[in-house]
Amino acid sequence: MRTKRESRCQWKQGGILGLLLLLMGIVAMLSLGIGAGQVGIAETIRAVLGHVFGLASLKQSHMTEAIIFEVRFPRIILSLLVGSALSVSGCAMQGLFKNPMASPSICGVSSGAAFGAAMVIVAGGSVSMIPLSAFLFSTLTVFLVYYIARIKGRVPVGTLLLSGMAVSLFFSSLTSFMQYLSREEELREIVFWLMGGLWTANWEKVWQVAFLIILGNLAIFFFAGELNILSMGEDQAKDLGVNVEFSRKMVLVLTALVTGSSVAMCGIIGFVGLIIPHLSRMLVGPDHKVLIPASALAGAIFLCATDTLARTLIAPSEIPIGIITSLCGVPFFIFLLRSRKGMGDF
Amino acid sequence: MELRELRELRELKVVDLEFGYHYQRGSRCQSGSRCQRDPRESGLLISGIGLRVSAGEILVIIGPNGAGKTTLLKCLNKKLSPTGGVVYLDGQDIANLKQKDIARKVGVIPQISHVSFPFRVIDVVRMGRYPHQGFWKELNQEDHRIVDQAMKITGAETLRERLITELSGGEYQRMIFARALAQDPKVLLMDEPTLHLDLSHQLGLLDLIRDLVREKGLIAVIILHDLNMAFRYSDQILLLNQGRIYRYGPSEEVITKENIRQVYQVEVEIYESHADSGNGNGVRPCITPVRVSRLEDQQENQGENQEETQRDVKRDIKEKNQRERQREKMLSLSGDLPAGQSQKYGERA
Repeated sequence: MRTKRESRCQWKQGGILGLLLLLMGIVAMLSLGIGAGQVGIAETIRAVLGHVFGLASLKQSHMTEAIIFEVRFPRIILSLLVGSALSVSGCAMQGLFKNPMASPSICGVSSGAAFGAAMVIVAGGSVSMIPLSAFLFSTLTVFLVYYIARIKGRVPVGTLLLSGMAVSLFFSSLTSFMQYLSREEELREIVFWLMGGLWTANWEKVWQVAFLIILGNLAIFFFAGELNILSMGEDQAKDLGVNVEFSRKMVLVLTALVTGSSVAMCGIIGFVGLIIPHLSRMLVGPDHKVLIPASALAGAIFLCATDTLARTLIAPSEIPIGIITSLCGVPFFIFLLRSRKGMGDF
Repeated sequence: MELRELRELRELKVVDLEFGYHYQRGSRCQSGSRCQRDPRESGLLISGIGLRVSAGEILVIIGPNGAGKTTLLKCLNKKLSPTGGVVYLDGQDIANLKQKDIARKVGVIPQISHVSFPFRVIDVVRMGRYPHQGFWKELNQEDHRIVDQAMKITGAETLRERLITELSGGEYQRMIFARALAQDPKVLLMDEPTLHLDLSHQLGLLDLIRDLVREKGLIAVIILHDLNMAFRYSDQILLLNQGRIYRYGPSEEVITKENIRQVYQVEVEIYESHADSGNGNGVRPCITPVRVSRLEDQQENQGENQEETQRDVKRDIKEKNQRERQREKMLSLSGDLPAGQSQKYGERA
């Protein structure tokens, strides 16, 4: 039976999830009201209410409406989606590899995508080819890493992480080579892409990835029970009847899918996949049934907030979001290394 | 399927099991069913293992480090797929069963591994219900009842809300035992369950295991290093050496001065202890190590190993006589071991 203390704990976890949801709404609303364009928060709220309830009296000028609904809105939605995708896959990989240092970039997703994009840019492909190529290469890299690490039907975690690092380095040097080959204009484009950013967001992009990311996240959530057991170690997972290879392969494919599509849309955004899962674990504990939703919400909030910073700090110009997330991420990472609180021994 | 599940598990049988990491199935030597070479040369970690444990019995596996005890145990629940031979759970070849189906029947207490995330003890014990859970993985009343019972039996109740990163070795072991019981298993496999326990907890745990095995008709396969404990709690002992069965049978036939000298290269004294342990066995042997065998003994032993085939017959006769004598001595000492049972074991061995 559940004890009193336990049900209190569950209420607490539920409360935190509720708070995160509320916070996400507030952050999204604020972001909607802040920006380079001369559209304030009051106008934004009125415009949104008018739009939702269909009240003509609250309708704003054509320009204002366009800024809110065609520029900021899709960008915020995209940042929420991408943030949740990155942190959920980081969370899944940490459980999967029983390793608090794992993240999508460790498995080569980012470097694969970077190479895919750089190649198209240097080869002079059309702009629409870049996300496609990035997506293809990121998923390809994950499979490559997985099959390199596979020995006689088994994939030891250590080998997987090492092969991930090796393949990452390989693609990074290929990307560097591309940069070396590229002309000035192309180099600039590659560098911007590597630093990541959401400034190209529009509704079309949102619809392209929304489906993949939401379904992918839900599917990862479905493996929460297995992830819990897998984070006790592969051997114990087998003792408890988990089909280790199947679960592992499925979760890897799903994370490749969601991170691949996020990276394809907005370039490489570092550290979200590493720090947000840790932060969420400190908030709600290591149970993936709660941790995955909490990570999704926290990741969405974090990326939405940092993206708002990215586009407003030096407005009308923009700072690439990858710089801001890493600037926030590195100190936090060092703090984690020093304190190790809530991460267990490793 | 339902009927098969409900039927009580009667026996665990292993036939001619072998395992090697870098070994291809079917490439074993053609000369006969048993390879006469050193199993290590052919890349096999264990070979020619056959055993049979019935419901209500405890099999203890002993042997020196690296003898293949853990490998053998891992083959018993398909954690490792044997490269040869078959493991039968109540007549079913486990190679044809899914890992989840096996986990419904076989609970495992592994050696302690490192802990990465701060789960609560109760969360970990609930993981034991995983093989019984359906599509949505929600625990029902029955699951909670079984989990609570497992916690109670193992005394892990007091640890309920503790974080596993903060447990001592003994507490961790209790939690893992509770989780194994939460699987509601018919077979318990244990890899040195007493490793991190003090003397009273060692006895407590092994007493508990024996009671569970007797009452619920479970099957237990336990790896132990302590020969006294092995003697005390086993119905059968399997002495493993270099991946092969050295001796297999009732305790008093396996744990002899001669066998221990041969396998462990240690001289032991075996006394009879008359202390009443409270379980009916008035007289029990007490094994005390004296010293590591002298170098010349060891060399002699090695020489013997090389000429094993020639000397096999001779030694077998010698040892058989010795075993006979030993058994007679034991039987005369502890009157409660029925002659018939001993005979049965003798045949099996």
